[in-house]
Amino acid sequence: MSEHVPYLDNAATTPLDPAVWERMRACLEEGLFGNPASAHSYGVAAAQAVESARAQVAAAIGAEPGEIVWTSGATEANNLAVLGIARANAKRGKHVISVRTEHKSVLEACARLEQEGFEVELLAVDRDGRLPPERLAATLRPDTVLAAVMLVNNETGVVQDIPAIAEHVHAVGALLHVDAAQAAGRLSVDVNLLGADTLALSAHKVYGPKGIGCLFRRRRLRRRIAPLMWGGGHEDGLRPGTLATHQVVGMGAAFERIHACQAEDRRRAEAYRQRMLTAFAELGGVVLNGRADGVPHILNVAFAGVHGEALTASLGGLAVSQGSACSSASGSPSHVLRAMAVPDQLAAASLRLSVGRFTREPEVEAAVERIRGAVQRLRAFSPLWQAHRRGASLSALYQQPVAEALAHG
Amino acid sequence: MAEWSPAVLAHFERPRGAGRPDGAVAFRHGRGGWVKKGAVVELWLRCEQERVVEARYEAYGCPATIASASWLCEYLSNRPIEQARALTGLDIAGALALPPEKIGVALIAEDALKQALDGDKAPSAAL
Ligand SMILES: Cc1ncc(COP(=O)(O)O)c(C=O)c1O
Repeated sequence: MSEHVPYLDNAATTPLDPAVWERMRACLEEGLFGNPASAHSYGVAAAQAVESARAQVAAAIGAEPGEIVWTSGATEANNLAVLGIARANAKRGKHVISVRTEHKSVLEACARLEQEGFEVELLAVDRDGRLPPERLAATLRPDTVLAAVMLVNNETGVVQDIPAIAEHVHAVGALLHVDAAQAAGRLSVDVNLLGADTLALSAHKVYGPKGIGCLFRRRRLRRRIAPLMWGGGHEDGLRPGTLATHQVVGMGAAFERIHACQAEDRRRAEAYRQRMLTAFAELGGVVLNGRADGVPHILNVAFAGVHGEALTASLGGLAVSQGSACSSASGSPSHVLRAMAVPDQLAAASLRLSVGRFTREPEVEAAVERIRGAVQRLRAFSPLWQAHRRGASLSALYQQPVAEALAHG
Repeated sequence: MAEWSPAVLAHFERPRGAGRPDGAVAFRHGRGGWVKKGAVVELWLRCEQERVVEARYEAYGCPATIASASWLCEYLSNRPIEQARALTGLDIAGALALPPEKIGVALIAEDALKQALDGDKAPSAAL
């Protein structure tokens, strides 16, 4: 790429941290090619690297190394937890609870369970994206085996009250799965404080490589999760296949870096978020999709009066997501924003701006400038925006309730 | 994302006749489309002696919607009303080389034109 395109899509994926790359490179170059499952010295050397990475990831989330199962990413970890727990506990009950704003890898796994005869309830969230824990409590039944609730939403940055939810779930003897793919490195993630029984993580959201993730699962759950694949019994029989040592090492290094980087990462993300919020409040007619207390690295905002396609076409290739990287390929409105009762037309005119460890101020400024320019240009001849200027409320224009726009000052 | 023709891009990037006219009273007005369907076109025509002398628009929609309104205004300027009446959405779609799935937005521009020319007889659309 000749001209630098501002990259504000760190919730989709993050670039590799050079320190992580250094460890992966060393692993590939320095003869660590042995199969970690082999008993000879080559295998043992690779296994040591794998185990030290396991300890690094475990330490970052307050778990024990033996509670980490390597997977190909959070998609697989979510599938393993949702399908694996439900199937292994089907004798106890067939009721599963999740939430409409979950990642597709949880929702589609739940849809699969329904085909297998499970009863899945997907809970509604409030307009601000939060699930009141009492709503979940009211849905729990003696035959509920699993509840799957994410910690941080990937489209809006909204944080769920997992500790309160865990208490309710455990009161009926069910298990709680938490998708923490967007939380790691942004919030402190401690499996004990959260009360999670299983928890999904991904390396590439935290400056590690793509293609590697893990499932944390409590030690006592060893026999209460059914595997998705069959093979050589690796990873306690939960996930067979020869481990990709360099990927595993990369994930370990990425999670080890969290400790050193988190405070600075957060300070920076908060400053950028504030900068963007101020600029959009000045612009006017910008609605926050989410909550003020969401994680700072994700900002999802709707630009009233402009059409989503016209907005994207005016951004000159700016690297941001419209709604979500996952759903924009299909062109359908974001299921998350729909669950938050955002009118479809406003959801389509929403951008997710997500900053990261390697975002710098000029990138944020350039993005804000481009977005402001595009929105102002399109609004100048938008009949919706002009009607709004003459006094029509956003709810009247979209014929559906719309949240208050960001206020300035 | 849709691939747009050079004609669509030219009108989308440099729209002609964009913005409501100042003394809108002297203009005939028409409107087409629906917010929920993602396309609204408003059109203002100033006519003198059976000719359109000025055409302006406001548009909410995808690049093809904006380009359709912009193309329409450019076409209408200084056109006999006879010819304006004969124009259809398909003509607009053809001139802009719109992909088949976007022909609907050109028809919305046609609705706005018909309403501006015929007043209340044309199909109307509420915001
Ligand atoms: C919340 C959440 N869960 C799961 C995933 C899937 O992660 P992976 O790409 O590692 O499969 C993502 C990212 O796409 C995510 O944001």
